[in-house]
Amino acid sequence: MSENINPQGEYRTETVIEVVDTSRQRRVLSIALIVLLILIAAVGYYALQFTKAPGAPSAGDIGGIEWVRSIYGWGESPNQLLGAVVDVAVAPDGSIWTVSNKTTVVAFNPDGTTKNVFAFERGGKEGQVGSIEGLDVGDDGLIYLADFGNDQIHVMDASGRFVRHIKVQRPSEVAVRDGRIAVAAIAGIGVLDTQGNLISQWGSRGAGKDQVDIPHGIAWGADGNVYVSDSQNRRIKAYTPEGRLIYIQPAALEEGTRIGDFRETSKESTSTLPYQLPAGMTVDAAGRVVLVDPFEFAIIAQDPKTGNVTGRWGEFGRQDGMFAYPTGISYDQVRDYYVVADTANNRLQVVRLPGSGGNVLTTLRRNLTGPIWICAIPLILLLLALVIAVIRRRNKRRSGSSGVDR
Amino acid sequence: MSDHSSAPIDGGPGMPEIPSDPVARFMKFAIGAVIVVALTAVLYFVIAVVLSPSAPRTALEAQLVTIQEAVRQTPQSGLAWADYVRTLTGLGDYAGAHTQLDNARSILKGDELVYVDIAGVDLLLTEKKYPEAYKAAQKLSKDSDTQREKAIEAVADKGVTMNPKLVAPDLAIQVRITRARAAANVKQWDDAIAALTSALEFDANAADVLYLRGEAYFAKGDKANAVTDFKKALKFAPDYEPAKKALEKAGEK
Repeated sequence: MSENINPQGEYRTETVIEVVDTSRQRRVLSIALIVLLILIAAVGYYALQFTKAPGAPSAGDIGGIEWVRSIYGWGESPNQLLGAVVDVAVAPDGSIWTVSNKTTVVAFNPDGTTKNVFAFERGGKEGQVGSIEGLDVGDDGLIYLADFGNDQIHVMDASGRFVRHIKVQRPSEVAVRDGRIAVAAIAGIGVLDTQGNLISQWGSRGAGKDQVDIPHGIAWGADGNVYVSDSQNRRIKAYTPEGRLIYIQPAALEEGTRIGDFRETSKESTSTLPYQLPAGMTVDAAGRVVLVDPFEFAIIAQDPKTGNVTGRWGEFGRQDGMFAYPTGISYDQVRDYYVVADTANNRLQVVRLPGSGGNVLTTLRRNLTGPIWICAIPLILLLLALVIAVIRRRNKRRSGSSGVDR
Repeated sequence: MSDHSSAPIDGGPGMPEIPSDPVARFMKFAIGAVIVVALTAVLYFVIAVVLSPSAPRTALEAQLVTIQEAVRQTPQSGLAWADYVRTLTGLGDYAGAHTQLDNARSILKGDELVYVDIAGVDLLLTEKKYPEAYKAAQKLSKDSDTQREKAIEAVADKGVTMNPKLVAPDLAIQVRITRARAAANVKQWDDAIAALTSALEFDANAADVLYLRGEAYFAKGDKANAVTDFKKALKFAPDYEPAKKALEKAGEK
């Protein structure tokens, strides 16, 4: 402070001017920052209202499911709308891949905007597809398409170019993880490497303990096991990657009860069965096996160790947040949401469910997505400015009091 | 003080240089950063939301795409136009709904126009323009009755005597319910009861109409008739929840 004293002895006056100007400047800037913050918050709020989808449901309206968004297509004309979406897969970069009308592969960005559309001709020649029933995206970003009609798994890159084809008889669903492809086919389960070399294979078509019948869902568990929706037998099966059966759920259906056997099954037993037609499945951050049942119009969560059902959400309807014969599901661990192929409603639905196991970081990221982050940044800056102001004032006081002491 | 405050802060000749305040500097930076972030967000919004091709985001918007196509393919269908108007109403696009109502009215005639006029009354009720809705409902009843008379006359010209209750009964009931709803919103209970009684002439067992008439009686203060209608409604539809609740509200079990 002593260097502020000039030869004319104007030390005190100058210090007063400095203090008055500084505090006035700070006050004006603080007010300006706060006004700016309020202005941005107001504009953000109105932008949110402007972009808010009309008719969007709240969680209370749809039985505890938190609806995030629905994706209906990649344009406004009827031929740009999704049709009969049988499966969906979330890529490592968060993009959402699906198949429309079993021949058109469509990719969406996580915010629902369109990323890519690849319309394939139906046929058996190179570059054509027969009937895509399932798909998944590998850690390498390649897309694996289960072409039920052409007895093939097409491996496609993100630009829509086929990289290779893997021969599999009637594949209905694929799950890719750590360089291995688990394939659910009409008459059995197989595990292959990404080049198509067979690692293990088991099962045959039927209702027996070691058999499957048109499985429509397959997923790699967090424990490395393979979980299968044995759809026509109305049961879930857990296997080791080598094909050793761990359990069948419900255990009563070890000898499967097929769809066609409804009349032969007593009313009591059918009503107590957990599934009517288990289909697409995925594994969430909590390690739960989460599957969709088109006849229950529901998403069902189950304990991977025991196979016991731990949660069930959903009801039939056309409104957003409701389902009509959903057949596919995939989980985005980063954004902590599930994407459901809501088949008969011709749409994808992005929803959140309780108990999905997202961590603190996921929750924070989730809450900072959307227009709210615009408000968060100035708030952080204002907070920083306040902290610096407090520290500097304290330092000034300390140095002032030490000067007096001297 | 005023002399000093007009002096340059950074000092002039012979004035000591006052160091600039770092907090103020930081705050200026913060304001600049906020403006830059806000402008980036606006740019992103313009590119991502305004300029990018839009696809339907909700069931209602998807329905709109399908219905627009239906109207394009069957412009003579009153039901298609009515669905179009209702969907726009559901989306909150009231101006668009009015425009399409006008378009439909310039194309349609006869019973097809009645469907659209019902949607028009619904639109006015959603907009809470109750007196206008009531006026439109009265006109709708009159036009609809004229259409019915014409239809009966047309059949009579061919030498067939037709029971009036068999001429488009569902549409007749719909028109009367619409009138009753519009009347109820302006508290014209007698008119609402009359319209619903007329609707019951076409279908005496309609539980929903009985329930609505019960509500009108209840609002008018005629509890006895209200309870009778609620009970009758439950006789025809034993699980009809609104009637059960209304009966509880009336203090009956």
